[in-house]
Amino acid sequence: MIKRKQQGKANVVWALFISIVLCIIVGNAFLAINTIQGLSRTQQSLDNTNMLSTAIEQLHLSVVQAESGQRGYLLTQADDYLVPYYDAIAQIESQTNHVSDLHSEIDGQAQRIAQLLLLVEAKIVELKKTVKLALNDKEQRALLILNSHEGRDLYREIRERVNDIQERELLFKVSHFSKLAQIKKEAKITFGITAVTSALLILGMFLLARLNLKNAAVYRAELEMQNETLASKVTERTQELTLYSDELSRSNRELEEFAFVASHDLQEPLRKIQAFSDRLESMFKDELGEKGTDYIARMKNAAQRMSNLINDLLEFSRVTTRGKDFTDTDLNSILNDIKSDLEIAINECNAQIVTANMPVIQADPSQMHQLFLNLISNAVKFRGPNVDPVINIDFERVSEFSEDHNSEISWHVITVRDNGIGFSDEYADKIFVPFQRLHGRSQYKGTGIGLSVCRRIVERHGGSIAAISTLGEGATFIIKLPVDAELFTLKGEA
Amino acid sequence: MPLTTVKPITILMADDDEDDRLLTQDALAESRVLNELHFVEDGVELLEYLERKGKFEDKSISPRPGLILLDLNMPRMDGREALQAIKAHPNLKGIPVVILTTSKQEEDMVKGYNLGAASYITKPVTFDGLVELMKTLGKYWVEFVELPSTFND
Repeated sequence: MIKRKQQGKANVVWALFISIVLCIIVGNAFLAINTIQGLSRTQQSLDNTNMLSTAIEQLHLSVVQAESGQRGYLLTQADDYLVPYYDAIAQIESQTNHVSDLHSEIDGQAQRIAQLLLLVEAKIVELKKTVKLALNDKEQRALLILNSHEGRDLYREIRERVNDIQERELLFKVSHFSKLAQIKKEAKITFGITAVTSALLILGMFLLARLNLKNAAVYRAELEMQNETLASKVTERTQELTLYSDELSRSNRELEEFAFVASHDLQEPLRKIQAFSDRLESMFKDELGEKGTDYIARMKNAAQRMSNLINDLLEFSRVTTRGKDFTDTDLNSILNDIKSDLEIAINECNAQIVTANMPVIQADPSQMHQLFLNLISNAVKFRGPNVDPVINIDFERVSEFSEDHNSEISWHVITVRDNGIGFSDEYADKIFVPFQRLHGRSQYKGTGIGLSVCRRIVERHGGSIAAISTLGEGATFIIKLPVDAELFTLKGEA
Repeated sequence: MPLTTVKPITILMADDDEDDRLLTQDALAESRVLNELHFVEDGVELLEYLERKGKFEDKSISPRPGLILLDLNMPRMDGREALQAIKAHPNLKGIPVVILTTSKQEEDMVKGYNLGAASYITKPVTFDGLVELMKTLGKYWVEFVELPSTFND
């Protein structure tokens, strides 16, 4: 959280920096444009002033040329002097036009120029007058005019004006040259600043990029570290689970060994009791008499029952300790095996076992055999007194929503129904308790372990078993086994 | 095989259980098998008897058996060890050994035969069964089976 805040602050700082630099650059661009505009304006002014100076000078020269021509002609009467005179006169007109077309930026220069032009015009009039007089041989009058200094005065004025104008234009030119130099200097500075700020900006961006890369590298390293931690935690857990599962296996093995040895060692004295009872019976039959023989028979019976009990206990414990891995188990073939196992009993009481088409399921085959053997032999054992036993075994596949798994679960539902003596519904749960019986020994044989073994097997497969019955109307046993056996159990362990 | 040439061979039984020894003796008597039955209580005694050591030095009380009935689970030295020792002994390895035990374990059977036992028999549960066994053993080993005469030294 803090990291993000820091990152946010850094971003703001950088944003600020970049915006400042951008402003400077924009400002610089602005100044540069101004500079260039100033430069071109100054350049234009200089061009203008040069043009004007040149035009005025040319006009001046033309006037001088005209004057010297006129003078010459007046003094010498030589036609040669008229040539430059006429040239100049011709030019002066166009030059005058040219000058008046031009425009000076200097204050009052326009008036001065206008005045000059007027003077020039007056001069030309004077010149033309004198020449015309001279041409008409009126030299005397011409010379008069000449000597009246009119022309000379005019010229002097012209010259003064010209000088004045030119001086002013020159000053203008000089000032504009220095302005030019100034602008050039400013331009250098401006471009220098732009260059520097551009460089700074580039440097700034470079540094920012470097920083980001570094941050990214740091984050990546952190992520990798977390991944490693996670991976090592997973490995640790897996190791723990493996150890636990190994421990369970070992515990099961020990239990099995204990159960086997215990049952074996418990059976041995029973055998002795039975064997010596036999000896007594055969060796001392006469001495024992009826009562004695009866007692011995009961002793043997008791020993046998104890032996059966021990065997059943061992069988009960073996549901867990000797449980095998689940494989594809065809219930049809299992039921067929059971029918042949119980063939004698079935034929004896004319029993009918009707089986529906059973599925192939994931289960421990020997335990499935035991489960159905127990149920079917019970059905045969507890048959009705005057009716041939009929046993129906049906199958249905059912889907239900399970809260525990938050999804649909599919079940194999197998029912075993008989038409035997049934039992009162209040005992529906009790019958599954180990060694619980509903009848005396003399009525029906058995230790009462069969159904508890069935329940243990079914629960090992992740399923359930329930019984429904009415006394005198047969019993129905409903077995539910999950289709997806792995969902409910560890592989083969319970 | 002519029944008249029945030679009473000595049967030596090694079993730690007193009751089993008694029952076997009675069963043998019941079966009318004419054989002397000697007993030892564990593997150590068995070897002492066969080698005529310790309290069995006297040949008259320790005649060489034609058949040994061997229990597997005995203290001090069990049947498996004793069997191994007997079959390794140059003079004794020729004596047929029939394992007579309560154990139904597959691995005991395999080990027994591998070590050289002639047969492996699980003790009958009933006395009648024991009598029947003795009769059969007697008939088989005495009437049908040939044993070298140098055995009876």
